[in-house]
Amino acid sequence: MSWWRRGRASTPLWQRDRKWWTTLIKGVGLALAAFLILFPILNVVLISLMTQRELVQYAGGLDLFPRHLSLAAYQLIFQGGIVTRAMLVSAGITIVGTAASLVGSTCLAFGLSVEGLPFRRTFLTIVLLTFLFNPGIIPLYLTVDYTHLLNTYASLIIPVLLNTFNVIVMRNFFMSIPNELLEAATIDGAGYGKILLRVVLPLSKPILAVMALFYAVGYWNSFFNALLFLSDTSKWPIQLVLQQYVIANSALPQTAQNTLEVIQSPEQSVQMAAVVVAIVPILLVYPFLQRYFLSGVLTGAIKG
Amino acid sequence: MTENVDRDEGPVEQPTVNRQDLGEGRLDRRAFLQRGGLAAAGLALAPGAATRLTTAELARQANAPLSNTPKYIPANVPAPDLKGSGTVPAGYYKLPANLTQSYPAGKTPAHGGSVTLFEPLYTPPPTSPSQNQWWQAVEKAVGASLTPNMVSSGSYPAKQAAAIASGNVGDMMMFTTYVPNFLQLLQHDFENLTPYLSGNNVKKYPNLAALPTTAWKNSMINGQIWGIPIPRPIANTCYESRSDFLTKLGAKVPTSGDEFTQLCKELTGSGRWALGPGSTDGNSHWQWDFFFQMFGLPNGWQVKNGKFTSFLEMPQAQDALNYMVKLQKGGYYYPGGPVATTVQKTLLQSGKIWMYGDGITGWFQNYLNTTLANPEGSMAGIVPPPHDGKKAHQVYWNSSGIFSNLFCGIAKASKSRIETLLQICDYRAAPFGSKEYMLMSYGVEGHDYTVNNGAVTVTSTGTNENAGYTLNYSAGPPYVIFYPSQAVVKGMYDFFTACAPVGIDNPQYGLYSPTLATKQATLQQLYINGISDIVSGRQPVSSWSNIVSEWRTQGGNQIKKELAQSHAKAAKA
Repeated sequence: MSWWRRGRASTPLWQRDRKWWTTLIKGVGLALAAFLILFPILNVVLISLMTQRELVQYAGGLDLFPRHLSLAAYQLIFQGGIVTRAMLVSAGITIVGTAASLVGSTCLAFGLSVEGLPFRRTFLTIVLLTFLFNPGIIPLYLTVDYTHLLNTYASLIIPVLLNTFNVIVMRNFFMSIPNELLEAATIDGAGYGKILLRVVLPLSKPILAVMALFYAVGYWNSFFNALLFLSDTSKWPIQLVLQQYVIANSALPQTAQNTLEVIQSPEQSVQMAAVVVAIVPILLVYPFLQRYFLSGVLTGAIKG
Repeated sequence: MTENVDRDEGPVEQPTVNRQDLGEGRLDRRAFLQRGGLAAAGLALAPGAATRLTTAELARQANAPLSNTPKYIPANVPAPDLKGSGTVPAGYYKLPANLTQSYPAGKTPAHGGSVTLFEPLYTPPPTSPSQNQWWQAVEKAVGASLTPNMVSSGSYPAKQAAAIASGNVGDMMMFTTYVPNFLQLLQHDFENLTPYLSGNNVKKYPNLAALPTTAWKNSMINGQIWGIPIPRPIANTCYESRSDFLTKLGAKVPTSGDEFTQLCKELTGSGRWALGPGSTDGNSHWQWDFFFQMFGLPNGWQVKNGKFTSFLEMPQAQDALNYMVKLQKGGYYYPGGPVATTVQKTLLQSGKIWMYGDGITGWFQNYLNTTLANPEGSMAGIVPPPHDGKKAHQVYWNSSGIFSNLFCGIAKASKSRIETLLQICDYRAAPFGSKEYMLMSYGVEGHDYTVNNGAVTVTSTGTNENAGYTLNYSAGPPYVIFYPSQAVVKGMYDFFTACAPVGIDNPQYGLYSPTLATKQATLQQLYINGISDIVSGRQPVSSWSNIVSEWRTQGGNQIKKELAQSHAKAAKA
């Protein structure tokens, strides 16, 4: 039996007459696509491990097999405590923010999904309106200022606590739960709170996992609110610090004021090391949530 | 007044093409649109922003003469190794053994309280004040707690607009670009420093008095001092070249267009190209400004009988474009597109290209990496040779000599508060060779840096503490050439010396055109795209006249008119 015919019994009928070369073409195509996606990441990782001398020698190109691997860039960025601290800030914001967002979104989505609740349509319209009209930067800044949240960690969470899209997806998921289940619980004497906690949430693990991932990635990657609202640089999350590492090299040489600024502008390997450090944590989360991912997205999205 | 006339009569550059404008205060189209729109919104929302200047008031301001320029009183600095004069800064090979005291010992500019400076940040952020000895030392020296609002440089205008709208301008705010209704904003929120600093008044602040007169003049708006300028070299734009290539070829620095072309031909081949792409600032496509200077074009504007003509409108612009097309067709340009990516910055260092415009302060890093890759590598700045070979026709476009062509404004406050803040600026402006300079630029000796036989080495702690940034853009010392490499100091000094006799100023500095303030980036993008298209071969050189007409109708004509009016009024005053 040829290798490409293995597993025939489980192959759907329309795929049974596969030719070996179609499998080969698909394999090559997919490998190419995977390479195109992985190459920039590989590029970043390799540059972060290269010495400055090699980087200069390969100007503009990429040495796929650097002879001298060096962890100096990583040592440098972890040495000063700026990146370490920013990572902790980001982790804190991500954990607290994700938890708060999940609680908020679940409550709102459940409220919007329960039929017969007064003003449900009105609230839904209000929620949907925020989908269409976003506040500009200045109104947002003024609101945060008036509520005395400037330069606080809360300013990174509260303005983005609820994501309309996520709330709507959750609401749709909740609505897909058979009404009979909720009615049975009501007959058993459960109130809305108990129904949510004992019936709806246990059935909603996939959507909760997906929402957790969406919110967590959002919190981890967000930098603009931090840029706007935080003046104390020791409160900066990793993405903002990362941005400084990456932009500094291109902007500095033009007009750096003194030798110190020039000396301090990070080398390319340091910039890339900062990129790696920033993407690794969120990359690690994906595999753990992946099994919930597909079912969660599809279930929530299809039911309208 | 004399200085005013000098500046106005010289054919000079437009700040829109000024490399300094494109560096720290970089302006791309998107950023500009975002910034312009936001700033406008910010003003509309600013509490009490309804107070607007009338046309007559603005006109009166435009009349103001430059007689308000602070008196120049040189500071007492250690003798340099290379003497500075005029626009050539002094050069130091070593840190002077005996540092001077430029602020009275035992005195502090402030006595308690806190000071907030709103400024752009171009480096990774400093470590937090509680773990930062340098920061603590600066606070002690200044006598106030420092709470700077450091904003990532790329998003500076967006946050600045929001801060202005909410009235959170801090005690001091650095302006990296004009914001719409700039004069009105200054009038409303910022102190007019003219009474504090004009003429002999500046004597109370000796370090500010030692700032070059050009820096003050170019930062003033309609003759009024609205903030403290941060000095930069006048010859801030530099085309750096690998001089070791010429030595190997036995060639000399070209002195005419023909020689330049011939040299490009000889340098190109075997994986090497004579000319690099435009610098990463994204506005010097195909290094166009170098070639425009080769053809003797004025620095931004030519003023004759009070009439302004843009360099874009002059016939030599087409000649320069024809020449660039010839170089492109000859294959002398690195084939990577009109503008360098960050990665391509290393092309010069690795020896793939001969010439690359990276700004004067990119020199040191380029030199370091060049010698790292090739110990025999060397660098020199190239002054654009006159195309016709006539020395009398050689020009170099001077920069404004100040960071971002603007200044650090001081928010309105009581007289005593303003004086305290000016004292802090005075401390920050301590010249090279003083103890105060060392603290602000390098930190605490033994902790942030070490000195060995006149060479300063920054420790990794110093790199991370980076607390000079607490007051970095409040003021700055006069520029001197001091790098931990004699070759760099000498090379830069030679470049400055070569630029000085052929340097021409931009007549626009000190004049104010509201249209230019709002349309600068759009108009700049218009002609830069045009240049890029023509040299890339997408459009013929003849399309240049259409670009110029478009430039005129989109705001160029209005700008010319406004500058002429501003110029006429200033001349009468």
